[in-house]
Formats: sequence, structure tokens, C-alpha cells
Amino acid sequence: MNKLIVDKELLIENFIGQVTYNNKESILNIKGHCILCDYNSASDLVINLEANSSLNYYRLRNNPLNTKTIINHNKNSQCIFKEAILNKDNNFNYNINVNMDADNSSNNVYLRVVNEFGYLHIIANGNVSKDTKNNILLEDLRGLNFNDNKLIIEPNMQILSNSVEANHNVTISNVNKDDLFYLNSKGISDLEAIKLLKNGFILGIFPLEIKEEIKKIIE
Amino acid sequence: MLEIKNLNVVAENKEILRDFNLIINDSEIHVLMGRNGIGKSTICKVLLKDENYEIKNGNILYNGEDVTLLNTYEMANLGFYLVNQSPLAIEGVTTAEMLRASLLAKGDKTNILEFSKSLASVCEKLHLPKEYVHRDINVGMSGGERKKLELIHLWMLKPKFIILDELDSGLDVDALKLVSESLKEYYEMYKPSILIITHHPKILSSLTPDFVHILDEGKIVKTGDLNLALEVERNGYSNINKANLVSGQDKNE
Repeated sequence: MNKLIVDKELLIENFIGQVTYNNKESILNIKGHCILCDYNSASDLVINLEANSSLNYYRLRNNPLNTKTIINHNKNSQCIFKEAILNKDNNFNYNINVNMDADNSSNNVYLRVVNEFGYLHIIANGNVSKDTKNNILLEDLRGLNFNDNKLIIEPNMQILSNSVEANHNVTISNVNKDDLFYLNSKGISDLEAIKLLKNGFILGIFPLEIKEEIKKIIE
Repeated sequence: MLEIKNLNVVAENKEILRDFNLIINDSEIHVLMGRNGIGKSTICKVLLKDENYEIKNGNILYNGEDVTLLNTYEMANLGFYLVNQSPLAIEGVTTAEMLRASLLAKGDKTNILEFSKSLASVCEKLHLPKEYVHRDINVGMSGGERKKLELIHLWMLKPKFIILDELDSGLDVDALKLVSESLKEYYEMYKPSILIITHHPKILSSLTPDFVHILDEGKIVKTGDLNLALEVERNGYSNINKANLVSGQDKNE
């Protein structure tokens, strides 16, 4: 896979590959069509989508600390941002802000959080500016929370335009008991079944091409 | 041999089985019939130790060992296998991954190539594209495809005691024929014990039962052979001749 190292700010044009960051804060300016994979970076991100650009961003993080991600859209830009967070025992806050200040753009945020022991507060803000047209904004945020720990996920949308399709949903749950029974009934122990379900929860949002790589990392 | 003795089962504070007795010898095929909501599926769930069902009294013995307190995966690893009425879908976990984990749990050390080869041949047997086993479990599958996948699991895991909970529901005529023939082939090859829960005797044309039981008020109220199932289909449960009630246990013994 192609690899790209970002120092502080970088213009990325028509690139498919893995991206890593040298700094705590990084700025990506996206031009053309890009697919980026980011495994376990700790950087705050600002992603600026130029007009007529598209980005698929796949991010996996293990035990992260406080971070934020800002995605700014220009007209006719599309972004699919899929992120999975595995938290063992950290306490942290994470903010995702999507800003749509132009027309004909779409942004889909998919977030999967597995919290073993820790306190997580995640805020996903979606902002669509006044007088913009034909934008689509989706937030699909799900958490798998173990051991009665605290996991808060707040979906916020500030929609100031009438010409927009906006959806958000949040679910936070423990492992589904029916799923567990089904796997147990095939002879799989609780421990192994939970591992399968956890991996499935994380892997479910990623495309087939990178699933194996992600599986190796999380196992 | 499975022996269920004086079993009392409660779910959500409601008594579902009361003094339920049943003996299923090795390689026998038993059918359990009864009106909707009478507790037929409860037997399936109890045998696989679903936590939603509480055994208040009685024992379950398998090959002479008391298995009443075993948990679900221990029962599965003893060779019990349940084909659910409506197999659920699990996102993110593929059928192949699940089967690999199941076989590893049973101590099967078949290498990945052999595993893939057997899986492909079982898919062919059940006329299901082999790509299906690399999809998330039952996600986006029709009722019929789900049942066929359950049979793929069965062929791969080779259980000794099979419980079919309304296998025929959701299957069209052709799919039912294919599934029944596959089960018959499995039975002839491995001679498992089979407990069939059904409303329709159609499936019994391939798998001829040794005993047919009617369940009512938490226990078996009548036992017979295939003719009893045919009588139920002709006359319904309310018209069954109950003058000659024979307990399942007595008849079976």
C-alpha cells in the first residue's frame, strides 16, 4: 500500500494509501479523489475538501487520548469518514465537527466505539450553513460498552438551511444476548463469541480490501 | 441417549413445561407437535440452555451424564445442534469465521485449505453459492437461504443430536425438498438422534419418525407414530382422540 507521511499540512491529490502523522495537529487539503487509511494515529485532524473533491477516510485507533477532527466541505465535495475506536482503559473526549458551507456536498460519518474500561465523551457536530443547497449529512454513531463504564455519544446537528437531507442516529449497548446465544449454540465460548462480535462490530464499517489489515491490528 | 425427567420450566414467571418427560435413544427420530404457543420451542431452548428459560425441577441426562447444569456452548460441544425457527443475522461476523471458531472450540485442527474445501463442497450440496459463507451471518439472506446456511453449519459441525425447530417455515416447496433430502443424507451417514418440531408432516416424508408426540399443557399427552402426525393434519389438535391418552414416557419406554 502507498504510504504518505504528513508533517503539519499537506495537499493530497488523487491518492490511495495509508497516511501517518508526525505532529499532534495536522491539516489535509484534499483535491481530486482520495482514499486514505489511518491506523492508530494520535493527531488532531483538519480535513479541507476542495471543490469537486471526494474522500474516503478509514481510521482505526487503539486506546486514544483527547482528539478532534474537523471536516470542512467546499462545493460538490463528498466525504465518507469511517472511524473505529477501541478503548481499553483511557478516559478521553473526542469531537468531530463537520462544516458544510457550500452547495451540493455530502458527508457520512460512521463511528464505532468499543469501550472496555474507561470514560469516553464523544460529540459529533454537523453544521450546515444558511443559504446552502442540496447537501446531505449523515451521522451513524454506535457504541459497544462493557463493564458498566461510561460512554457518552452526543449527536448534534445545526441545520440553518431548508435544502438539506440530514440524519443522525446513536446506539450504545452491550453485546446482544441473542447474538451471544446463537454463537454459543454453535459451540463457541463466551470469551471467543464476544471477541468475534467485537471484531465484527469494528470491521463491519470497513471495506473488504482493508478488513484483513484491520483484523490483524485489533487482534 | 437423551433422557428428560420430570422437567418443570419457567419463563417470565410463567410455567411452560410441567413434569415433562421424554426419552430419545441414539439414532431415533422424534417429532413434537402441538398448538401455537404451547411450549414446543421451549424444549429446543431448554436443551440448548437459553438463559431466558429457568429449569425449576427435573433433570436432563445425556448418555447417562446429568447435563442439566451445563451451559449453551458445553451442550453444543457435546454434539447438540439447534436449527432455529428464524435464524438471526449478525453483522460483522462471517459464516466462515463462525464455523472456524466452532470447529476450533471442538478441538478440530483442520487446516484452512481443507476447511475451505469442505465448506465449498457442502455449499454445492445445498445449491448455495460458496460466496455466501464469506458474508456476514444471514445478513440480507431470505428465510430459505438462512435455513440452508444452518444446514451448511450442520454438515460442517457434524452434531450427534439435532433439534429442528420448524425447519419447514419460510421454505418453498423446492427448498423444503432439498433441505429434507440433505437431512436424510446426513441421517443415513451419521445416524444422529433428531427431534423435529413441526406443524406439517411434509418434512416427515423424508425423515420417517420413530415417535410422534403431542404436547399440551406443558407435557406430552399423546404419543404415536407417523399416523398420529397425519391425523393431526387431517383433523387438527382439538379433534385428536384423547380417550386413549398415552404419556410419551410410557409409550416411549
